[in-house]
Amino acid sequence: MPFKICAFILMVALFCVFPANGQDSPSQGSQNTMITPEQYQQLLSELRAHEERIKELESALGAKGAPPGAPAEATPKALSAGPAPEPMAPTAPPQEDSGAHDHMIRLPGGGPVLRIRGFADFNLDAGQDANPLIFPLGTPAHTSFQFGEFDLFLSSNLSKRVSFLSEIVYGSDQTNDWGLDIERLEVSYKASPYFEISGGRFHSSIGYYNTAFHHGTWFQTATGRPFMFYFEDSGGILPVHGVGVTTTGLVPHTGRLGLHWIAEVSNGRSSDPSLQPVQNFLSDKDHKAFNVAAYAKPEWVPGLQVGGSYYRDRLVPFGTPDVNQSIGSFYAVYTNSNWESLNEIVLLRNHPDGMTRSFNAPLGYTQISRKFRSYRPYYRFQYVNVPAGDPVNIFTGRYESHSVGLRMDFTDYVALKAQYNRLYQRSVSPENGLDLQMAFTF
Amino acid sequence: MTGKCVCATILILAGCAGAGAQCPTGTLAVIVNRSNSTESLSIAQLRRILIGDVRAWPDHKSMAVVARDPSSKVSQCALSSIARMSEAEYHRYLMSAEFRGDEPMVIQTVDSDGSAAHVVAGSAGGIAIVDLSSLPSISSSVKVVRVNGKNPGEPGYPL
Repeated sequence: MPFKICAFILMVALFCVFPANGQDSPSQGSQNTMITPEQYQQLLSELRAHEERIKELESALGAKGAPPGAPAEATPKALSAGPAPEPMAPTAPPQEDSGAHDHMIRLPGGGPVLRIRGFADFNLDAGQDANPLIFPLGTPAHTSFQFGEFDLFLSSNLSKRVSFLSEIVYGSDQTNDWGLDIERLEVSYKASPYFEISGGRFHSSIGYYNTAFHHGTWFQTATGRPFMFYFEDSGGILPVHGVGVTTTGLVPHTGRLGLHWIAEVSNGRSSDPSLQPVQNFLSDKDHKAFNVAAYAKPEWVPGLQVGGSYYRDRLVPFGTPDVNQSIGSFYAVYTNSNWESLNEIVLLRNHPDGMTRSFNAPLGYTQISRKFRSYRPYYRFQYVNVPAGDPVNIFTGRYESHSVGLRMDFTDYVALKAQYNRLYQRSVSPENGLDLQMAFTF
Repeated sequence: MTGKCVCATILILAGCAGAGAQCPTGTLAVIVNRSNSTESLSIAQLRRILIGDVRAWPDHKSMAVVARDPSSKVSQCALSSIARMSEAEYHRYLMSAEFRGDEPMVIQTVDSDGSAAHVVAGSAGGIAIVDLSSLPSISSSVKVVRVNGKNPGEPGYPL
């Protein structure tokens, strides 16, 4: 910006011309040059007068030199078209940009910069299978306006290698009461691209969806998560949150394959389904759950991610035999700016001690969408089948659902979604639901 | 019947697709610091740099991505040709990556190719995408890398 440079030069010149502390010859080498408020105001008014004058000259020059309606950006020319008139010297100082237009808070005197981003959604639900957040509702569903989740995402770099993030969600449930949850809170140390360690409460790296999407529905194409990845306190059957330590990194010398590894140790899920499922403060057992995962993002197929994970825990339900729980997952995901294809399968296996039988629950979903300008129609099929008698799962039975929907990006940061669900369950008549959602970020 | 309606709707919507910034090839160049030993980058590598998947050069120097202001044609064409995204999609992608817990990508935004070259010349890990027509005036201070093995102006140059 020539104007800014001119203003800067003018300011420097003014400070050079006018003695800083009102003396004719300031003491040499003094760093404590003082300026009185009167002098400051005088300088400021002079600077403003000069700025006005520069503006007038610039507008007069622009009116003279540029034809009306001339494009602000020169049309790109061929290499042979001759040198461009751009100057080598910067015309404005470079601006650091996180690329995401975060809101930032800087404290006077320094300290880490806090970045804030918010998400929220508002819904209109009709039908028994309309709610995008909770299943089963446990109460007959009526057509309802519903305030979804108010989600504040906070992050900060505490040093070059240490960072912090948290996700604070304020939301309601079928009781209509409000509740506050710290859904994620992680402090991370990144030693290198090959090793990063985080401690706190995180989303377990089981499958893809759970770590790709968190609580802000604005990021998600559909109005809600697949049922298999519902949160524990909303009817979810997988341990999607973990409290413990997670490590990750790039596998060395796999540059073109983009192979990453993940290893996690956490408290695991509570063994008692009637208690808070995420063990934030106390664990009900000494041994810990662990999860290992790997995924590849091959360079030669941009947008493709293929991965899998293996989770193992030993649950200790009161009054019944201990249960060895293992969760294996595999996924193949392809996303680019137009297409989205998400495909995941999970096998959740619970094996009580002393029993020959294991309770195997296959879970899976597939979702495909295609963007057409601001519109993105999508389809999702999901399947969950938990055997009757499973000793620890809070949901048993079959859940088979087809959903079709349309997402419209009303503006860059506001999405309108309409989703129709048809749900088939064992021994229950098919159910329908329509969810209209407005999701946005701020 | 319902299936046919859905298919027809999708086909109609597909007919409306294909919009977006159309940028002819032969208009962009990739510049790096003169001390950088990299001679050539593929489009796939450039994409990974732009979306933050790659943050360091092979010699472990941190990358410093310098971008023209988002409203400029250079910036829009770079996103469209390399990342295959619009500006809004790119921002959404970066937000999504940060939301997942990835380190936020820091991009230095400048308002001219001259400024981009100036910043790249002063930063060992600097990289920028500039208008090809600016090269004669800036190429003395920076290094122009080949893209998919092609120099700017050569047949088959992809940008």
